[in-house]
Amino acid sequence: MQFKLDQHGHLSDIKDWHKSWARHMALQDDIVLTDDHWQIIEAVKKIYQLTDDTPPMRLLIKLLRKEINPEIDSRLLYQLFPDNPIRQASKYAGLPKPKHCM
Amino acid sequence: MSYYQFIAPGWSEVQWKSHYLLIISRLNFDLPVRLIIMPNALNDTQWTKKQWNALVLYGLESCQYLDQQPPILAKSIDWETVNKQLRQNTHQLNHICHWQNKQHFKAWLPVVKDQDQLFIYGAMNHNDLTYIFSQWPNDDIHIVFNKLHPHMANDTQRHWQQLLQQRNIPLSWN
Repeated sequence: MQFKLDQHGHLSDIKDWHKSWARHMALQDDIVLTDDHWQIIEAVKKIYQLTDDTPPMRLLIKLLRKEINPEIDSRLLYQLFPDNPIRQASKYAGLPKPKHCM
Repeated sequence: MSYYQFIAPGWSEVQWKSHYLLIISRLNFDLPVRLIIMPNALNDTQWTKKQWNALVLYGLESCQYLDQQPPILAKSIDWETVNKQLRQNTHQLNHICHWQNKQHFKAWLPVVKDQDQLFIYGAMNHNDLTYIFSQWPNDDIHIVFNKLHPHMANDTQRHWQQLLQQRNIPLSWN
């Protein structure tokens, strides 16, 4: 697959985003995307569309608990996205690197 | 206890950005935030509609305005009510002002009451000081002539720090 990436390895143009692209990028990080992953990715994408930014971790968890499952916590997010949940979920969602991530 | 964040007139682009990040950080740590929008503050707002929406999404406790309605659900309020809210647990406020100019100083005077204390720092000349003393309702004024690091260094500044630590309801004019 050939896609234009930015200097942080995120998709340059969100219009190029496709689920198969996300699966491909996740596989490069040794992650097989499941329904649980997709719930988080879709939530991050939705928040980005509403706010023009990716959410900080604790605020994401607060919203996920409200919208999806009150049991969600940071441990679960790190199980799904071991490197950095916000960063990885944003990347697979086709969003730019979160501003608050180093 | 809620944290009151004033949206003040004359903010620079950097101030709009930094205050936005400050509010998001507070909400991120579950600290309740209430916005109070001062008159003319929205004349040069740098927050997008989506940024305002983000504050609501992330749990902004309330938003109140004195004359210009923001692009989110907000309640009109007057200065008397603002003062009542700020003074729920105390009769005295410690106003901490980084001196900018007369206009900035004047904009904050509606939240000043007779018994309040002023801590002021920054680059002030004789005229500025005359103005400050003429406007403040009492002599409880503490000045540090150091615009960058008022909390550090010499004895005067340490005294200032001690005074601040004794009182517990500060209000930063920023």
